[in-house]
Amino acid sequence: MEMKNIYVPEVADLIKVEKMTELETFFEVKLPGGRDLGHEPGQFVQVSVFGVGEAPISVSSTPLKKGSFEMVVRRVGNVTNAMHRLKAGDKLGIRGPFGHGFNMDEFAGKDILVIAGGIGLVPLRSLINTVIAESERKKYGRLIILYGAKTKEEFLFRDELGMWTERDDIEYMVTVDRKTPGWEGRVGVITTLIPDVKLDLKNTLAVICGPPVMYKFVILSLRSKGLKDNQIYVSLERKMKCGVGKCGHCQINNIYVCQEGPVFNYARIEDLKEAI
Amino acid sequence: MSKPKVAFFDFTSCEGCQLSKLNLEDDLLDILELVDIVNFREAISDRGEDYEIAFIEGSLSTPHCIERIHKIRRQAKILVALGACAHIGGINAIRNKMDQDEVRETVYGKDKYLFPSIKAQAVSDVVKVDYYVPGCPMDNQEFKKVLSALLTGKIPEIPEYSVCVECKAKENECLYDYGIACMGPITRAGCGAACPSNGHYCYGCRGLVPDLNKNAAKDVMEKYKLSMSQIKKRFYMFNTNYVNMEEKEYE
Amino acid sequence: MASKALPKDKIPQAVSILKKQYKVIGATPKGKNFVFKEIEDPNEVTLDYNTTILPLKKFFLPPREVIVEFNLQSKEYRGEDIKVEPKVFFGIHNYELQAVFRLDFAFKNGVSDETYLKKREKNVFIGVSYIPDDFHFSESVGIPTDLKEGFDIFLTRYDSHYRVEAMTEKGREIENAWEELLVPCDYEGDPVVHFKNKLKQSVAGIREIFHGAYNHPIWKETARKCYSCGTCNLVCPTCYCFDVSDEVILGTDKGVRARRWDSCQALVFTKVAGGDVFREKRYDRVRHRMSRKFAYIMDEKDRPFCVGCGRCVRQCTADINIVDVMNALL
Ligand SMILES: Cc1cc2nc3c(=O)[nH]c(=O)nc-3n(C[C@H](O)[C@H](O)[C@H](O)COP(=O)(O)OP(=O)(O)OC[C@H]3O[C@@H](n4cnc5c(N)ncnc54)[C@H](O)[C@@H]3O)c2cc1C
Ligand code: SF4
Ligand code: SF4
Ligand code: SF4
Ligand code: SF4
Ligand code: FES
Repeated sequence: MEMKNIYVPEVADLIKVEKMTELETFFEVKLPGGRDLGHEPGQFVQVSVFGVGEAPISVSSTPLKKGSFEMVVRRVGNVTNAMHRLKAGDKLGIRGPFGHGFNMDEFAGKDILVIAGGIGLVPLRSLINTVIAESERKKYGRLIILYGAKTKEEFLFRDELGMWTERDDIEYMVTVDRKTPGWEGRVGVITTLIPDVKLDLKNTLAVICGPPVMYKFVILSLRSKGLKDNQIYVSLERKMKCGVGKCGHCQINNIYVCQEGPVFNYARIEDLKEAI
Repeated sequence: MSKPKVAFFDFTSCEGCQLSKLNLEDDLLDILELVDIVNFREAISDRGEDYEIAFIEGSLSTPHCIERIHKIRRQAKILVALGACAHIGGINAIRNKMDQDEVRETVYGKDKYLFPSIKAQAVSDVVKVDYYVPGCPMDNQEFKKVLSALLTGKIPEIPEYSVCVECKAKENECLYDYGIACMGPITRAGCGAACPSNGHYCYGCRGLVPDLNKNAAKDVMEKYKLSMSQIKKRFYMFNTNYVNMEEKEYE
Repeated sequence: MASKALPKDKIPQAVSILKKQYKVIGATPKGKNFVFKEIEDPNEVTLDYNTTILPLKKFFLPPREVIVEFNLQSKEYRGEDIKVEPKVFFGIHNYELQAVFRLDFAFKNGVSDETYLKKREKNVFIGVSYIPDDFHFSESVGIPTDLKEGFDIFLTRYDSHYRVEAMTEKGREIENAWEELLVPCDYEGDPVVHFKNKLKQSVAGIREIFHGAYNHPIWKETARKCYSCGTCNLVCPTCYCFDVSDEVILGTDKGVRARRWDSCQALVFTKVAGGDVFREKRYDRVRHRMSRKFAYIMDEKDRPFCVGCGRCVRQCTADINIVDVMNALL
């Protein structure tokens, strides 16, 4: 029996590196031969920086994009700091895609409510860009995007945010936790946007990704609006080492986030005490 | 690229602890080649040399020490505490649990008033410490790892689990099997369980694990028939500043 | 065919015969304790031991092992070549082998972990019966002393002899190789052995009990005594969680990515950059370890991951006893 070492990354090329904010940088990666990654929105890859280590990073581009894929990384530790020192033309290691993302078939015909806090926008952008692609847009119902950041300086994908505001097939609302000079928009945590949203309760699916503290409150207010648990999807973060269900770090009660997640239907994990 | 400028400062530490060795050890020469040492040991001038990385050895135990460490902190981009004394106050801190006046009297006799001294403090009790090389004595290999991490722009990492983890991985017989109380379960790993591997109990020189369960430690040591005063001794040898054995609190 | 027995005093010779073809691994004394090691001198092996400090997992999932090698210059990642030599594990208790099977399941389930599974090739297991001491409780987790599943040969102790039962082709080859050492066996059947240490209830249904026991006071009570030192994880034959880190060999362009046994009892286990810890309370960690053994992971036959070896109890300096904790729940 021929076995493959599941821990060996494939060496890929960085074709574009662009600073996005003080802390976040955008990366575009080309696999050998321009092969497609073959991910679904919400999945992640394990990124290796030579000599430093490995970290799980969401794929931020839509699977519809061919020839390369995109990531946005916040520098917080050794691997992510080292990534920020890389330039276009450098090499890095990729394993994956891993886990389960959003099954887009389930979203067909539905109104989609996207709730993204901070860097949580990164994986959800893959879903958003899948939905708003010209060839795909009519497959889905309304697209409502609620986005919250600490300050306006921390906004990611600014060009795209601008485009969302322009397009009339996207309902986009944004808030910041703290007003900084030049901000005219809403101030307050992301949950403050929810009461203003009118939903067709029978036909809406909500997706949530953000910092750990956010989930509980957002879910509470979605429920109080009348959404059922199985209409809510969450993308969860946990410490990860192996990405393949072996090392134990990402475990929430009896499930491995790297395998079953990071995207979960809320009804699936509601009873898991450690989940949210 | 110019070599980073590095300075070493010696505070109150037990005689000849690390730096003397550091001077000579062959295996450190290669890494010390990569830096420019601008200040070493007693060569403490207050000329305000320019250095980026300051290594501090020893605990802080006089008002003068406090003044000096603030000065160093203002200059250094990165400040690293070397060895148990700088990391946790070390052996010097044992005296903190004694009457301070008595201590001075024991040490300086009737001249005690000429030598103002304060409680022996870890460097981090006074200024922000960026990184640590724990241990008494510190381990040269770990020092080398920390320095090479800094030189390559990495955050040096020291283990956050217990000495038992390293001890078990070596399949040592546990000293508790012989009725010897060991500080391994509550001491931060990184030494490769140096003492238990040589048949001696761990006395906690690398400091305590981040989430100490003090009551467990006390219960166990009591079980092994250590009297309260012996238990205190075990704890206070290196970790005086971090445990108050008079309190009984359950988390 | 009448069965054969190996006289106790012929064990060194039996080991010498094995050594001609295999690396032989067995238990040997270390101070008051025992350890598994590769046998150099056939006289050092013993069939008379309670448990070893570390289980057999150290041969398949070493405390630290390289999983990937890399080169900074040529920008390459590659797997390490794993050489497998034929090995005989001589004088193994049945719960020990059961634990290896649990690990096999864990490393095969979902995606296959070659680094582990390669080392499981060309292994021969020679079992030996044992008398449970105060710590063993294997019978309660479905492993009575006469369970011989998976062994190539099983040796059952009686008086000064071991009855030899070859159960596989490999086992019969070895029995043949031992031919001249064996004597006719006048002992049939298996000794009836009682465990002093027991769960109040057999494993069936334990998983359900865990579901209702999330907030049981026993978790906090146990945590009060626990150091979170990690010993129980390291010595457990079915704990396999690991940490991964990269190491550059100083002064070269080469480096390795290595995995190291990790402990879910340590606070840092679930700590992410930014400081969030997902099992911050000590009692969350205590519950997690025991839940993993009895409720969270089960093998393909729905068997629990605890094999009742008693190591975690024997070696816990705080005297935390998984049997007592379980019995409080049952
Ligand atoms: C499914 C998933 C998707 C993610 N997507 C993104 C993304 O798109 N962009 C982004 O900037 N960040 C993302 N993160 C977080 C990112 O993985 C961590 O910031 C990163 O691992 C920190 O690694 P480090 O070496 O820089 O930090 P260190 O603190 O040095 O961490 C050391 C190691 O611990 C593990 N670790 C530490 N923090 C985390 C964490 N938060 N999550 C998982 N493992 C961790 C990693 O193995 C890491 O290499 C994601 C995390 C998960 C679980
Ligand atoms: S000897 Fe000390 S460090 Fe080693 S296992 Fe026992 S208590 Fe832990
Ligand atoms: S075993 Fe304990 S006392 Fe000995 S070097 Fe390690 S931490 Fe220090
Ligand atoms: S060995 Fe005992 S004290 Fe240490 S973590 Fe396990 S249960 Fe807690
Ligand atoms: S949990 Fe304890 S008794 Fe059960 S297999 Fe692990 S070490 Fe043995
Ligand atoms: S990351 Fe290792 S099990 Fe999920």
